[in-house]
Amino acid sequence: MSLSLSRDMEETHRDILTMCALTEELVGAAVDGLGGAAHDLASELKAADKRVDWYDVQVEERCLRVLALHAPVAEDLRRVVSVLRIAKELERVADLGVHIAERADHAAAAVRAAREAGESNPVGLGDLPALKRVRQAARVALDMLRRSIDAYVDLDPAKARKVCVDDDIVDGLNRETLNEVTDLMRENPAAVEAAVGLFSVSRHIERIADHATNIAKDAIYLVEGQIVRHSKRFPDRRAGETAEERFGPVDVDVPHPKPDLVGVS
Amino acid sequence: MSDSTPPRPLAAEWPALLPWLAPVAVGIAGLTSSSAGLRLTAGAALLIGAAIAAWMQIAGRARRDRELADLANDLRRGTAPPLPLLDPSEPEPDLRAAVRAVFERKNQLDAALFELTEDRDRLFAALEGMSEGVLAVDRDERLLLVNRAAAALLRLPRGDLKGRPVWEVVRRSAVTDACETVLSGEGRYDAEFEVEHATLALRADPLPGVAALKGAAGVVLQIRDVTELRRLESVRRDFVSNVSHELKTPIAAISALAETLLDGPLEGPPIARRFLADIEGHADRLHDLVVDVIRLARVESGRDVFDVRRLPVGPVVEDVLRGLRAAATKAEVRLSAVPPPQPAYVRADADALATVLDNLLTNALRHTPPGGRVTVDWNSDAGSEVGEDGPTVKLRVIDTGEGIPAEHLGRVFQRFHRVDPARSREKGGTGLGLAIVKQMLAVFDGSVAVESVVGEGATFTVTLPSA
Repeated sequence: MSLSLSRDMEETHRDILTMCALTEELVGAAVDGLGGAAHDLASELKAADKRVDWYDVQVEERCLRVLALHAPVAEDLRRVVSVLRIAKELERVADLGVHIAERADHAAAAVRAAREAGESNPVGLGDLPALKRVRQAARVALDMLRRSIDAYVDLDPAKARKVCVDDDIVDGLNRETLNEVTDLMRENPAAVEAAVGLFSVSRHIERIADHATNIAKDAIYLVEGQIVRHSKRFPDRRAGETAEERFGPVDVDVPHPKPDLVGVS
Repeated sequence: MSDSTPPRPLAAEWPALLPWLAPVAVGIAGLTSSSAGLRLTAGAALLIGAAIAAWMQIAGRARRDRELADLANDLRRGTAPPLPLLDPSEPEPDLRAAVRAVFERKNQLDAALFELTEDRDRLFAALEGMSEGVLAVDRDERLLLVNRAAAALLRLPRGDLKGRPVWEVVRRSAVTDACETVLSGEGRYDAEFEVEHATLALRADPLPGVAALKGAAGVVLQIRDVTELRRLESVRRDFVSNVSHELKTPIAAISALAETLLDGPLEGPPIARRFLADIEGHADRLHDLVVDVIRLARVESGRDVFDVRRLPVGPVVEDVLRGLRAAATKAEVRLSAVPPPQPAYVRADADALATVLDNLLTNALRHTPPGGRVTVDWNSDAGSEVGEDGPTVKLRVIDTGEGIPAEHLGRVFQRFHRVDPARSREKGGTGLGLAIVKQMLAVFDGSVAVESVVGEGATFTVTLPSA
């Protein structure tokens, strides 16, 4: 590897990891903002998203330069290709983080508007019992994102495969959230707006987990040179493992402020 | 001696030359004699002598070369051959001196190195033991040092992290930004960031070094967990705002009442009396609140202010009940105590235990409607099965009042938490009574728990170590 190639590759590596840190923090902040008091979270996070976008462009330009100037082969080529793909995935994850924050802001604004309109007890995101499950899904998804990047850094396909397996957990949580939210909407029409918002957050989180899986698959490609996307064979898949088996129970001991909403699911 | 030897001081040369002088003198004498036979013999002897001398010289050189090579090897490997290294008959004493000097120097260096290693180990041990996380990063943003606290706080992977880029290992934007800013020469950098619901404060300083002229030679990052600090700050803020709110309400009432009185003309003494009675009531509330705040402060200053001793429970309960008899009669609530067959003793402060009981009973009376019952009972589990903390005494205050809704059960011991704020204030509660109970019991290694069924009453159970 020539010196300038290795320097370019190291810079790209650095940019990817900085992007990953920013993205992780962005999504974490967005999820923490769910159900909280309204402050302009989305516009705050958009600044971070801009930084992520800048890194995305930076990585792409550098990768193109490497391709044009050095015509890399074998592992170098695989690295360029996977870095390009990972940057794209991270950029999408950051966008989803902003979407989640927008949802949180939107729901909080709706509650405020309803209260001003004279409604005594409007239902916000924080009043939905399903929020706890969505938060758990977010925790799992963020953990997957972190581990997928770990797998890329450590060039560890085994780690990457574990991430792919965990995608099922988030999918399962998303399905449960859908069921719970649908039941809730049937029983309590006043909660429809908040419930729809929460479900879309849950879907965003499920997408984030998918992106994490894709990053993990890119890491596998980087090491082994085989494209595992769309192939369903993971030797260490543990069928039917639920989120609780892996990450412990959802904390259920916190008494809910609105008990009439709890019994719905 | 041959010319190839390096020049040496004369003093060292003389003794080496002496053995040679006699044969040379004899040889010269023979060569210059008149007898041809003698000249021939002297000539041959001189030639043979020269040959022997040349051979000895060559052999000596070879031996010396070997010894020097060995010496060089020893020096290179750092193994010390026993001194004197060279033959004691070594004809070159300054070489011996040089070798000795080299080895003395080596021993000094060894000692210095040992000391430095020890120093370094001590420093590392201190760094490892620190509760603050410390990271050092060189100019290329590679990790020089990570202590255990830093690894734990930042959730770093295990293994050897030295030499790896900080942005690859740590991956927190605050840390990467800090390194970048400080390395670009902008001086100290402070930030606060969250890692899995812990708030971490970060301070980055440039590593002092020769390269300080242009940017920094590296960065030292200190990381502190300030989660607890931030939580306490918010608790304190809440407490201050709560206390000031509680103080403001009666003061506002008193000043409004007084103003009305002053504005007279008063509509006759009965109304003035009522106003004054109201003022007195509010003043009492203020008094209660201030007393409770002082009590809370006293409890929080720890165990020292209490006189912890072996204490019979019965007399304390009787005392407290006597004090509350009037209030109970007024509230039309039956107040009674059920002593155990065997007197029970606890380890506590008499006044504090009385305060605990008083607060619990006042609370029970306040929330029990007329015709209800408030009962105190206690018993020791000494002699029966003993919990892991040794024998305890359980003291229960049972009322038949309105009960506490389930979602409030966990919070009734929080300061200023009220199930029904308006009614509690109206009845003279300060919102601190149960908080004081909990804090005081914690000082005596005791605890308090509550269970309740709405509409049927509540039971507060105090557990104290038996004595």
